[in-house]
This record gives sequence, structure tokens and C-alpha cells, in this order.
Amino acid sequence: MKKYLLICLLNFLLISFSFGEELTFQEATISGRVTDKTGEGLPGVTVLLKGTIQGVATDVNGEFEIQFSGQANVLVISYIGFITQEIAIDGKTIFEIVLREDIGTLEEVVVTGYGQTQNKYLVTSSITSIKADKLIGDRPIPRLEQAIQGASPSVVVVQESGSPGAPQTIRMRGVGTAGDATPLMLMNGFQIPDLNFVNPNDIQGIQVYRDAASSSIYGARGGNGVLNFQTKSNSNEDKLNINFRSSYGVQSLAGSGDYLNGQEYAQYYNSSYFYRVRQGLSTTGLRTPFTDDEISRLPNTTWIEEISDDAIIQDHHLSVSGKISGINYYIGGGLFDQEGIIGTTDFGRKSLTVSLNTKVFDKLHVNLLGMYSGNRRRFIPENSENSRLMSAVASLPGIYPVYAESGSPFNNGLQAGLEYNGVPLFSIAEFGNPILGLTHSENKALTDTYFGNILLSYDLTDELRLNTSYGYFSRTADIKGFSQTFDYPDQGFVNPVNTLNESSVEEKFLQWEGYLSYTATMGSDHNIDLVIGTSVLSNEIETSGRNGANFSVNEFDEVSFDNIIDPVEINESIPGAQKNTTLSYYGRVNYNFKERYLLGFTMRADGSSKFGPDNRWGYFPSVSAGWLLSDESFMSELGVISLLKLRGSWGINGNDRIAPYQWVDRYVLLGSVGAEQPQRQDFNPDIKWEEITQTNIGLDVDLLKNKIGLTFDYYVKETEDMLIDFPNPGFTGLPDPTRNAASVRNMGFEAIFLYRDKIADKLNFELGFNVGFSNNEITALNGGLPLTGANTRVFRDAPDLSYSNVGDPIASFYGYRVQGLDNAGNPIYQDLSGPDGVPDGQIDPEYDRTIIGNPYPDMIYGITFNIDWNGFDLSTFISGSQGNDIVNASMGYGFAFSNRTREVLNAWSVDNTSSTVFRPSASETVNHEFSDYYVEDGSYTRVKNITVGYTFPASLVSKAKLEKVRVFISGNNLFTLTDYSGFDPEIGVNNDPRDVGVDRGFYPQAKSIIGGLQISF
Amino acid sequence: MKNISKLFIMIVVLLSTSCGDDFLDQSPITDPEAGDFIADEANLISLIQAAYQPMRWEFDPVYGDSYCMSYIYTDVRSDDVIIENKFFQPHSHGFENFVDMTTSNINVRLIWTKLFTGVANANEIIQGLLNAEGSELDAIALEAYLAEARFLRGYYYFELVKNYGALPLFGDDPVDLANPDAIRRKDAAEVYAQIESDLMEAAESLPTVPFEDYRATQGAALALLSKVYLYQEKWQDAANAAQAVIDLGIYELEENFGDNWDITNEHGKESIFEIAYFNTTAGGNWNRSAQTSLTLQFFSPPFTNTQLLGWSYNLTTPELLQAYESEGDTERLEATIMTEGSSIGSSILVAESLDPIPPDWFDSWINSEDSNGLQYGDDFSYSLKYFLTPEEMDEYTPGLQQSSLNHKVLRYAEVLLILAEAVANGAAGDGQGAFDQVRERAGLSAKPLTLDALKLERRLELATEWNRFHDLVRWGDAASTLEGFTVGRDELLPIPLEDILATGTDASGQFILTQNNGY
Repeated sequence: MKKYLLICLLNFLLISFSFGEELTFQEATISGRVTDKTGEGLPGVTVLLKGTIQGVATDVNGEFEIQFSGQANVLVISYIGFITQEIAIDGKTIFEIVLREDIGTLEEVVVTGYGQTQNKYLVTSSITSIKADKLIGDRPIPRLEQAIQGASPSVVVVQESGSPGAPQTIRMRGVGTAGDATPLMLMNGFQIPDLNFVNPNDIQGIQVYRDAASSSIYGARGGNGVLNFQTKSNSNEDKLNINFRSSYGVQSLAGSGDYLNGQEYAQYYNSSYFYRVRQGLSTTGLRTPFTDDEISRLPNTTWIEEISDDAIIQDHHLSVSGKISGINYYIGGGLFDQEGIIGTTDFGRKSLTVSLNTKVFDKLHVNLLGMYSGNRRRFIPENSENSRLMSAVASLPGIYPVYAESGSPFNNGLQAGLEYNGVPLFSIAEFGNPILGLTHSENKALTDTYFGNILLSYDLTDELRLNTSYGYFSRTADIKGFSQTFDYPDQGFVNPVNTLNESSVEEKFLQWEGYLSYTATMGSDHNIDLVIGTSVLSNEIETSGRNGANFSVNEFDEVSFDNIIDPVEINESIPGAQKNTTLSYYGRVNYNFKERYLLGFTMRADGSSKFGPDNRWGYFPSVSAGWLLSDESFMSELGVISLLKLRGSWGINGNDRIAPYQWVDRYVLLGSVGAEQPQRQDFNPDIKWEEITQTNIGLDVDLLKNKIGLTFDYYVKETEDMLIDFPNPGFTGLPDPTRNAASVRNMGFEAIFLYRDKIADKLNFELGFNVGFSNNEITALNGGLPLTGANTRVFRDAPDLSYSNVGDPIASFYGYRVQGLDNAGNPIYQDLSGPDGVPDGQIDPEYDRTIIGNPYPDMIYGITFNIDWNGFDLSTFISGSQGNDIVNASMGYGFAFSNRTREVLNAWSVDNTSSTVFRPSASETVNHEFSDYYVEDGSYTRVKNITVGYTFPASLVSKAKLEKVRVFISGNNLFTLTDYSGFDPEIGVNNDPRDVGVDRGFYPQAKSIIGGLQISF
Repeated sequence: MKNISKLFIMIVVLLSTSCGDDFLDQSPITDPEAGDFIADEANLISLIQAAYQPMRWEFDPVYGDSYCMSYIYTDVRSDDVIIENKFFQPHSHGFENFVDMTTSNINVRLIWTKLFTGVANANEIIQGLLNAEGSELDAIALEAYLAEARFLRGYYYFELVKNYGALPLFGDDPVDLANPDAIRRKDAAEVYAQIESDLMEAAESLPTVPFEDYRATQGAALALLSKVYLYQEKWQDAANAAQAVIDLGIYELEENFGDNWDITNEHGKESIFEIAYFNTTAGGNWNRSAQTSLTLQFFSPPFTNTQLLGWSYNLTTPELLQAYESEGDTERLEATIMTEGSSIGSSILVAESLDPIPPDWFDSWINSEDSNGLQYGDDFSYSLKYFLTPEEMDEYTPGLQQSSLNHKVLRYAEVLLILAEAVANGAAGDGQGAFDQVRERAGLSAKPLTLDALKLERRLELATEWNRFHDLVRWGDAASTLEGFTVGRDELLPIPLEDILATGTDASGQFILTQNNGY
């Protein structure tokens, strides 16, 4: 495929170069002056003879002179920030050219919600507007979250895993809450639970509401930011538009971590053995060191490579839009299919989007949106210490083969007399051969999503519009998991019983909105926008499930509960159902005077059924103001600044994203399918809204006639009464209640830098850089006590790794600090304190553990670079994270005979006493206390995407009755710079803000090369 | 046109006002509300069943690799049993060698949580019934259910006090968890006082025949009470309670010692109380809601030629074997320890696999760091009481990791030995007769009841039934018997550090939960 595309590209290149115009030779000199509308000369303007490479730039006075050799008859005058003009020469030699400012770049429209838009320069809040054509249109994007990643400062998008179809985590401006911190997501104004069902190709634009002023009109749930997506629609164009896009590519393993290979592991084992001998420790029962001959005969397995394979990814999308008898329509249909690089994993999506809008009786606007998505996902367990799959992949030394000489999966477990290729191997029972789990069990989820939305707007007057919208979202997910029987008698691998489990989740969301919007200019200077409205929301979820054992059919695709041998072995779960409702009233006023002094107010009242009657209502105001300094006369004289806007905002948001009924004294039926038992909940009648108060100061600057755009924001985000699943001490015997347990402050600084320019006429480039710095700190704990979280078995005693205490970031890593190594190469921990508050000469977990790392980044950034020249385009997207820590818990430090990172090759020994790497300990099981030794820097810079495309000249494609033809080739995750030792530094976050930065074995991300084609008719 | 706009406004206004706060009143749909839940008998029974569940807990995936099976905090700490296979259970070492025990040990934390969950579940019933008004239950049934919950609270607190000493004590009145004084640890004596009164009240109102065969009876309450007295060295009370069990006339010894663990003889005539496991996959396994036990998987030898690929977590020591052999106690030996010639059903197992330790690879299991210097050899054997043959496994259990064989908690033989021990310590009663009955059933000749004879008898009769360690401790024999044992510390487990930290400090800056001595 790749080759074919390249050949295609080359052919067309040749053809396009051969279409030169015929040359004529006449000599003349043309001169002139280029000015703006005020008559001011514009320096540096490009003046080009069309169809040639001949061109000059204007001087400081805007004057130019160009030799005219007669082969062209048109002047092209272009300047960044101004509309390019073409002027026929027609024998004239002196020109006075007035360039008009390209207001398009200035007057970019921002969707502010509730049917209103604002010119970007009048916005007083922090909104990032992402236009889909650049981020989605020109490169293949499997999931919409990826379009946001790195595109807006302080929006952290973390791929939870590389498993196809895995959801991704979005965090905006730090972690506002220890509960569900996902931003509110809206599709055409309607709340949607996630982006699983969305085909990115159907999306027109994304607005990121970062501060309280932009998000507090969404009150409830807006506290963690708002993402507002707009679907594509036809904007009253009569012409029929057909767009087809297709891409196809291959994915492969991006990195295999920094682990020992089999031979290195054998050497590490040997050095452990010799260490014991030197130290006078017992070697009884230990295997004798590997001889050189044995080492050369070891299989040297790299497990991650053995279980991964190249996989296909493809995406096809067709859309039609136009207008029939006054109805604008857009229809988009897509097929997406991605195989996984590991095991039986894949993700497929069929999607259909229909968008209609029209006007009835001239005053009634009707907007209809319908979306369907059918998803299929096959997945494997990951980030789980109990599944022994991805963690086994990192933990297994390369001395074991994948398959035994008999062809059966090699049993590194309890098999007696373990030998491979004549080399006796010790057995390690803890980490099973992952090939078994990959081969003999399968999990599949089928999801159907229907989403419909109707918006009716009626123009009461020219200024006043009444709107009502009704939306319906329904999703059914059916999940099936099956484990086969298998029998490898020569390896002692037996599973005599096959098991099937099925569960289903049905979600139904209803939303109704009614609002009045008003836009008017009073006198000549007073401009006002107003919205007032109400919203009703209802969410329902129903769950059910069953499982069974012993089926007569052993094939995943065929087995069903009809095949159970004895129906007694079916367990049915008790069906669950829950419902929560929200009722809201809101209003917004945006006012400006002379489009120079800007003011905005919002107010929202939300009632949530998740709180008791006394705590149900939350009130969320915001205020914002802006000042367009560049419109002041004293500023407009400074020519370099085309826009200077200072803005500030303050506001409060709420968060009610907890399980419903927390305030009700109730039982919950707990337990696995078939054995549910009532458990009284530690209910909390006083539970109330979490409130997030955010202050934002921002500055927008456009320089050099909009060649350079700069945006700065500084914010302080204070979360109070944060809703947390509060860990009850074990002796209470009570489940963890949800409480308003803490306060957190997030502070940060965000900057966007954009530089766009042209070189000569044909080379346009745009360089973008955005960066967000943030830090979070717990400011109060209402229970007074630190919150623990994130536990892993790989360290001694399986301690809690994270700790959330006043003055520290949420979920900081918590453990000992290594001071150095003793004269046997063992760690010496720092004695920090004791029962009397001073170091007591003893290392105690009560007193000597401290904060040793922060899983959240200090800085995230994105760099984009786009060039287009003569139909060619190149776009590069780099994203990175700086200052976040990771604990690589995918290896079994606490277990003997677990693999290690290559760092141990430099382990302490009598010959290497200056090493800071602990002495070798291949055969030991305990002794690995959790300390800063195991906290790694998880920073990375990743070239997420490089795309090269070529758009065929319009003159050529129009002959084939086409409008646009573009071919592209795109590389994803091609390079990653990181010091992290695991498979992938971009690890997921478990969606639990108290369990962040712990890598228990994720499905690593793939790199891919994808070729594609876009055709518009 | 005007009409349309009017209609429009009307719709908007109607919709926005018609649903007021009523719309926001959402009560749980499938979760039962507390209210008078307990007044319904079926609900009450589901709560009682839930209060038995923590006894079944053996593992919790939430805490990584954490185990709370009875044998870990009992026999593994004794001289009868070792965990051979150390790789699986790095967090269990401290139980075996004492020196590796730390206050943040995850198993210590899970055991503590398991037993206190039992207390909380029992208290849910006790406090609910004491405050229930308008219950449809008649007074007698109400008393019986209340008694059952008291038995359970007594059972869980007894397990707790044996292992942790002084404890936060939750009684009939709800406790304000925010009040430091309400949750401070109370002396073991105070805990024992509540256990005694719970069991006495339970013995008064529980039926002699259980509602379901695994549930508590009057006999169970009395037998447990006698053991509670024994642990406090209240010899006469212990003797009286044991005699009361005998006087019920319900229980008698099995003719064959080994029949106690016959899967077809659950709740047999000798059995007074068992932790029930069922032949079902409901509830899954490796979690808190399992209705089956991991014992078969954990304790069995790795018979590579069958589906019984056990993990060898519960090997009996040469000392235990020696104790049987020197007493000439072959009947109990053969039912307790797998030896050459043990009758365990299947012909596959006997010959080749009974060499208790597969030869070549065994050595690599050894954790040479083990500081108690145990050297494992061929004298270690597999325990047999919770073993099932492959045929039994196929017929009676869902699989190797889901054994349905009940755990025996109180047997009539133990009641006889409690009486004998109390008498050997000076209480009045027919201790010698009780002692003789136990020996006679074992096929051993009578001998005079002395304290030493009794100690040996308890060991041989109750080996691998999770008594030995606490017997050694209360006899004061632990330090002389157990390597690595430190007097004044290792009698008790540490209080879980996480709970100490999570409970915080009082006004004086001291931790509200104190740590046990020496940790």
C-alpha cells in the first residue's frame, strides 16, 4: 500500500511539473507602492509575477520595482494578515495597491454555547477553539481525544492504553477533584458521557472552555472544564459536496522497554549467586551459575516482541452535504477498523451521522442531528496484578522460551525438571506464560449507541430568539468473556473447565433545554448578548449479567449459554438500575462598549438528585471582563501590535459526579454474580456539591499584522468540599463512603504561541507551540488525615504507594528515601523522624516515609509545524510531558526470578562499590521496600504524528470533475524520547486520581505508518 | 405567526416549571433502603447470611497479593506447618519466621479487616433488631436471630482478640467513629467480657437444631464459650460450658477419625460448627464473595500427572510427624499427613506422587534469605485433612480452586479436650473420661490425664485445624518451641499501620490506635 501511494505521488508530480505555460519574452519594469487602507506603506509585502518564480518584497515605504520579462500578465500581492490580491498588468507599469486586512483571521468565531457565538477578539474567557480541518481532516485519527491532545495548553490527554478502542483520559488544568475529573463533554450542546461513539471525521470544531467564565454557564459538572464539540453540517451552500476519505496502514510495537534480555538475565543471576557466595550467604538450593555454554544456548526471548505482531489499521469515511428544497443536509458514514498488536484485540466502528437544518416560515430554524455508532471491541486485561498477563510480560526473564520443544506453551510454573535446549532452568511459578491467556481467553464488547438531538429556534424579533432542544442518548453494551479448556499434558498446563460470562449495561440520557437568546446593538456603541434558560437532564443506567461453567462448545465465537452442559451451573446476577436527574436555570450576559470594553456575567442554579433535599441546589456565578487595548488610540499608533486584549475572569463551578443515592440510608447488594449480599452503606446525609472557584487572568496579543499570535493565561483553581471515596479504617468494617473530604488548589500558567508566514508566494508555514504549567496542592483535609491509595504487590508488604496530604500534590508517591548503599550494597534509608519527632536511629514506616514523587506533570506541551508549498503539505505534531514520575510496578521486585531493567547490569558489587544500583538479588523474594529508588522520571517527548500530503492542482482534478484530491502518508508515534524503563511512558491513569503513575503492565501504544486519500467532488 | 410564538413560549414555560423539586427526588431503584428493611424476615436472613460471609474470605484482589486464610495466621506461625512455596506469598513470610513481620504487612491488614467486617455485619443485625419497631417477627424468632448475630460477633471478636489483643470494641450501641475515646483499643479482658456475654445470650436463645445446617446452634455457642473460658484460664467455667455441650446429648465422636473430613459427611455427628463452602461457581473465586475455598489448590501437592496441580502452601513439619510416630498414633497420622501408604483414594496418586517433594526443582523454591534457617527436606509432608481426591474434586466441587469441603471450626473432640484441660488445671469434672474417649477413638490406650499428656493430645487431635499456635502461646510454650519467637511481641500480630495512620492522633498528638508491644 505504502509503495503504491508513493508511486502514485511521483507520477502526479511529474505530470504536474510538465504543465508549464508557454513562455514569451518581453522586457519591462513595473513599479508601485502597497499601502493599507489608511495609506500607510506596507513593508515586506510579496509581489510576484503569477506563474513565475519572479518576485520582490516591498521596501520600508511599501514601494517595489520588478523586472517584467513578459511571461506573465498578473501580479500577485500577498502579505500575512491581508487578503491576497491579483492584479492584471495589461501593459500598465505603475501601480497603487491598497491591501485590505484579512479580517477572517481576526474575526475567528468562537462557539460560546447555547446557540451563541462570539468573535474571538471579544471573548473575555479562556477558550481554545480547535478547527477540525487541521487536526482531524488532514491526518488519520482513530479517536476524537487524540485531536485535542497537545492542541490546547493544559489539556492533558493520556492514552489509557494502546489497546484498540481503549478510552483515553482527559484532564484539564490539573486535577480539580480526586473523584471523576473528566471534563464535561457536549455534542452540539448535549451532554454525552464519553467519546467512544464519535467518528472524528464528522466533527467540525472543538471548543475547550478552560476557565470558570466560559464553563460556569454549564454549572454542574463544568468544574473540570468543558469540551464542546460541533458536528459537521451544511452551511447553506447550494452545491452538492461529496467527500471521501480513506486511509490504511500498519501498526507495530513502538518500544520494548529497557529490560534485560535472556543472556543478560542469566549474567545477572550469576552475579547474584556470586554475591551470595562472597557475602557468606547461603546458596543452598540455588541453581549453580549459568556457564557460558549454557548462556549461549538460552532462548533469549523478548516477551513483548514474542506476543506482539504487526496489525492493520484502516479508516474510510464518506460524506455528502448540500441543500434540497431549502433543507441543508450533511450525511457522513464511516467504517473504522483497528487490529491490536497484542493478542486477540481489535476495535471496529460503524458510524452514521445525519445533520439537517432548515428554516420554516422564515423565522423558525430547525436543526436535527442523528448519530449511530456500532462498536466492536476485543480486549485483554491490563494494568492488573491479578490477571498475570501484561505484568507477566514485563516480569518474565528472557531465559524462558515461549514454546517448549514439544510445541506446547512452555510452562515456567510448576513443571518438574524444567529444561530447555539442554539447559536446566529454575521454575518461577508466579508469572505464568502469557501466551496461554492470550490464546485461550477472549473478551468482546459490542456497543450500540444512538444519539438524536433536535433544536428549534424561533425568531421572535430580529434580536430575540426562543430556542428549545431535546436530546436523547442511548447506549447498550454487551460484554462477553470466555475462557477455553485446554490441556498440555507434557507441560502440566490444564484447564478442565471452560467459563463464559456475559454482562450488559444500558444507558439512557435525556436532556431538554429551553432558552431565550438576545443579541442587540444599542445606539452605535453598546452591544449586548443575552441568554436565559432552563435545562432538564435525566440519566438512567441498568446492568445485568450472568456466568456459567462447563460448556460443550469451546470456541469463542460459537459458545453461548445454550451450550451449557448443566444449566444448574448458570449464575444470574441481580439486575441493577439507577437514575439521577438534574434541573437547572441559567443566564448569561455579554456586554461590550465599542467592542473595546468587554463584560460578561453568568449565573446558574443546578439541582441534583444526587444530594439530599437540603443540599440539592448549587449556585454558580461567574464574571469576566476584557479590555481591547489595541483599539485605544494610544495603542493603535504602535504598528506592530494588531491585537492586544487583557481579560480576567472569576467564577464558581460545581461537581456532582458521584454515584447516586449517597445521601440515602441504604443497602447495596455486593458480591460477584450469583452471591450478592446486602451491605449497609456508610451513607452521608450531608453530602453536597463540590465547588470549584477559578480565577483567570489572560492576555491575547497579535503582532506584526497577525503573523504572530500569543495567548497567555494564569489561573488559580480552588476546589472545596472535594468529593472523595473516603477510605474507612479496616476496623470499622464499613465500606468507603463518599464525603466532601478535601480542598485542593491548582495553579497554572498557559501560553500559546503561533507564528504564521509566507515565503515567496507559495510557501506557507505555521509554527505553533503551546505549553501549560500546573501544580496541584491539597490545602485542607476535612477528615484531617491523609488519604492513601494505589497499592501494589511488587514491594515488600504491598504498601499503599500514594499519599494525599495537606501541602502535597494529590496522590504523591510515598516511601523511604535512599541515602546510599551500605558496604554490602544494600540500601540505607534516611532516618527522617521518630516517635518524638526527631530521628531515632531506626527506620520505621510510621515516621521515616515521606513524599518521594509526583505522578502529575509540571509541564505539558505541544508543538505543531505545518508547511504547504505548491500543493505539498507537511504537518508535524509533537507532544510531551515533563516532570511526572512513574513507578514501574510491571516487574515483580518483590518476587525472586523476576526480570529487571538493564540498570542492574551496573549493580553494586565488590568491584563496583561506587554504584548506586542495589546489589544483585535475583533469587530473593523480600527486601524490596518501596523507596525513591523505584520512582522514575516519566517525562517524554513524542513525535505523535508526521504527515506529508499532496493536493493535486485544481486545474488537473477539475478535468476529472473533482474538486480536490489529496494523498497523504502519515507516521504516528514514530519517535519517543524518554528515560522511562517500561514499554511506554504514556501510561494510563486508571481514571482514579488517587492511583496515578503506577505502571502495572499496560498495553503499549503502537507506532504506525498510514497512507490515505481524500477526494472531494 | 403570533400563535406559533405564543405556543412556543407556553411550551418552554410549562416544561420549565412543571418539573420542580419532585423531579429531583430519586430514590434507589434496586438498592434496598435501610428503613424497615430488617423487619422483613427474608431480608433479615440475607443479612445473617452476609454476616457469615467474612468467615469464608481467603483472598482479596483489592490489596494485591493478600491472603487472610485461617492457616496463615494460625498454623503457619506454629511448629506444625510451613509454607513451602514462597514465591506466591512473599507477604506471608513474617508469619512463619516472625522477624520479617512488619506493621504494614498486607495480610495482617486483610485479616484485621476481614474479622472486623464480620463484627460490623453482626452488629448491623444486633443494632437493627434492638431498634426495630413493628417487626412482623414473633418474639421467639426475633430472640433466636438476635442470638445468632451475637454468636457471630463473639466468634469474630474471639478470633480478633487471640491475634491482636486489645481492640476497638463495638457493642450494642452505635459508636461515633469521630470520637477518639469511643474507638480506642479496649483491654483484652474487656473484649473477652463482651464475647462471654454475647455467647451466653446466644446459648440461651439459639436452637439446638440450626435453621440451615451451617448456622450456629446452642451447642456451637456453648462450645465456643468453653474455648473462650479456656483461653482466659477460667478453668471451672470452661469445664462447665464443655460439660453443658456434652449434656446436650446431640454430639458424639465419629468412629473413624478421618470421617470428619469426608466430603459426604459434612455437619456430621461430631461437628459442632463449620465454615460452610458450597459446590457452586456463584460468587466466583479469588474474591470476598466466593462460596468456595482455595484450600485444595493451596494445600495439595503438585501432582503433575493429574489435574491436582497443588501449590504446596501447607506442608507439615518433621516434628509433627515425629509426634505421631512416637505416640504410635497411626490412625490420626494417616488422616492428617499424607505419607507413603496413606489411603487417599486414587491409584494414580499413591505410588509415584507420594514422594512428598518432587525432586529436582524443589530446591529452587527455597528462599535462602529465610532468616529462621529452615532447611526443607524429605521429612516435610502434605497435610491431608482438606485434601480431596481427583474423583471427589470432580464430583463435589466446581474445580481445584473452588473446594466445597467445609472448614471444621469446633468438633466434639475438642470440647472433650477442653473439659480435660480444665480438669487437668484443677477444675471439677470428668476430665479423665473425656480424655479417654478421645484417645480411645484414636485407637490409643488410656493414660492418666496430665497437663503434658493433654498438650500432646491436643496437638495430635487438632493438628492443621488452626489451633496449635494459640495453644502454644497460652501455655507459655511458644518461645521454647518456635524458632525466632520473641516473648512479649510475637504472641500478637501488629495492629495494621494503615489503620493507625487512618485513625490519626488525638488532642495530645498521640496515635489513637496504639501499636502492639515490640512492633
